[in-house]
Amino acid sequence: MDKIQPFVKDYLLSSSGKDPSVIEQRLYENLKLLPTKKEKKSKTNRKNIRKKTGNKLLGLGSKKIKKSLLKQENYKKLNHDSRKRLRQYIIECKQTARIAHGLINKEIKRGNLTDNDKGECHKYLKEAFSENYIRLFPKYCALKKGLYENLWLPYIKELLRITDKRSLEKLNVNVCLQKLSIADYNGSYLKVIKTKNRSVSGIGGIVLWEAQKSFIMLCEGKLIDEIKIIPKDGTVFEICLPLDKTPSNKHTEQERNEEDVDDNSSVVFSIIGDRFKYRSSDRSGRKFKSKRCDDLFYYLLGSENSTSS
Amino acid sequence: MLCDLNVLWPKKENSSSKIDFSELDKLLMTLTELKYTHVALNYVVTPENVSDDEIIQMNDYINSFYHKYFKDITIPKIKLYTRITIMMEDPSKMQNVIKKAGTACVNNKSTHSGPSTKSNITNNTFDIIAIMPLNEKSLHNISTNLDCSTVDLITFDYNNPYAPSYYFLKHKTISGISAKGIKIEIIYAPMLSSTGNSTVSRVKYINNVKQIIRCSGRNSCKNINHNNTSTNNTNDKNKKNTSNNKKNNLIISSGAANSLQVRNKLGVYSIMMQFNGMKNYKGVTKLLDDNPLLVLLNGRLRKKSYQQCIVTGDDVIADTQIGISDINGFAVRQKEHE
Repeated sequence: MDKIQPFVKDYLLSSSGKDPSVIEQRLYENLKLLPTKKEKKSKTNRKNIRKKTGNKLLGLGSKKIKKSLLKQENYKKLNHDSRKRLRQYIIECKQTARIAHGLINKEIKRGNLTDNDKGECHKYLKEAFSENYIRLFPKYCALKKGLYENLWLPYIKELLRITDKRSLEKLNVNVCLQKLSIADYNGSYLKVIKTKNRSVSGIGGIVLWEAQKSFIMLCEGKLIDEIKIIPKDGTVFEICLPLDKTPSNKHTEQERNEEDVDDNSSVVFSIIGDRFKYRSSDRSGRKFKSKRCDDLFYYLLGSENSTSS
Repeated sequence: MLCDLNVLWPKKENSSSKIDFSELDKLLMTLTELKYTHVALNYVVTPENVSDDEIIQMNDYINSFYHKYFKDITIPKIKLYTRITIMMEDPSKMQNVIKKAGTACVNNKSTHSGPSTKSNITNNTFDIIAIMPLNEKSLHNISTNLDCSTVDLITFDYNNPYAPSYYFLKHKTISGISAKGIKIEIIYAPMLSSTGNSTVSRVKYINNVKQIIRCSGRNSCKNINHNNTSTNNTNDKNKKNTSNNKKNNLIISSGAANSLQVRNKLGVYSIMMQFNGMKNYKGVTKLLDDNPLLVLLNGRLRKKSYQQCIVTGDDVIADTQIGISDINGFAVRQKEHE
């Protein structure tokens, strides 16, 4: 099909002069019947993908995985692989953190380092531990700025339309709670208030990934930040949304001072983990139902202890 | 922790006359002396008479009571809650009434007097909603149609000696109700009161209570465990509890109108042991602290959360806390200065 058809040439020749070169100029490119551009492109794309993705992205050499990547039909297997990778990553992070702890403790015993200097510890680790130091990332401070303050807080405030104290009076609580049940919690700062499991109590951190039955958090340590997996079962999490400063219309100094005290306030919500055990993608379309609450008895006990202490 | 979820709210004699609160004050102070911590004021109505003013009046009274008797308002020794019990005769009307008690009475109010009442949406609903079935038909209706999302408690008419002697309660209906998370109430005040034809009423009272205890016995609990497939994880833990304590779906409360009709933990145990045949001391005390707290939790979660999933504020049970103020239902915490 890629040849020029003879009848076209004859027709053109009949209506024009003698010189065939002139006639050939008249043939527009879009009149020629050639293989379409899309097919050509797709061929090159496939080649590129094969070159790029084959070994570098996956890091696994087998041919079956390559094909599945190209077709995008074998979604289950791909997803399974990503799960494996996540699990590997978490385990590696935990191992390296453990090793780093050991190294630092040795140095502290010798007297070269002190307990309080986080910066010096990291410097020391960079020198002594250079191969695996990268795996200690992500660091807590960087994530708190990047993920939490710059991305998640503006997102949730825009979703709920909370800005300052006066905006609260216009809002309806039940609508806000319903919106929060659908919201995305990757990147949020959660804190455990009440638990069945005492070893988990009081831990707070930035959520890296929300799984079906657990939150994977990055927690701030005294010397080294660690990744922790906290189960939703039997825990109550707290969300704290700091309010913006109210624009001051009042002129006297006393009133301004009073407002400054109020400006540090924040809105508090809490998630009951037992009723939250769904995947984050499933949660958007799901209808929540209240159940028999005999299993939430720890919620009451926790409150009693906190008030007495 | 001791709970009493049934202290009667005094009735008006006429529509114009004011309620006399002096008796109620005395009752609540004796309860604090007996080391009760959570107490609910009970407002009994027929479905035709559900009024909007009563809940506002109750909230006002609770606030004034805290101010009168406790110096530190943020940690009162006794915590007061509101409760409504609806006499149920015709099950077809009930859906509307329960809605009215839960939410709708607020909406009616907001149309009358603007945004000031609108701001107190969560404050203007009752903490606990209870139902008193008067027929067998209405009891059957509860076990089939209603959930723990609408109703927390079921009581029976123990007080009235002239009520028709009780219909025969079945294991099946009671276990069906308790599987949903709705608890059943036993009152001990009619045993102590001496109004009217006391001997007849006491005999009837003992008979009724014994029937209810029989229905919620060990066998019914076992049935629940086998039938419920949805909550498999919790059942394994519950099985251990049920083998020790038979009655997981009962609570005991006073139902008192006088300060003389209230008893301590030991006093309640002696009443239940001698007249109603509950000999296990731990079993009885569980009905006084653990189970009523679960009822409170269920009610408060309905009021303060979205389907028991996300809650406003830290603590569901406590109304007033240190450093937390309530703006339009949102809990706002002020940070401490460092």
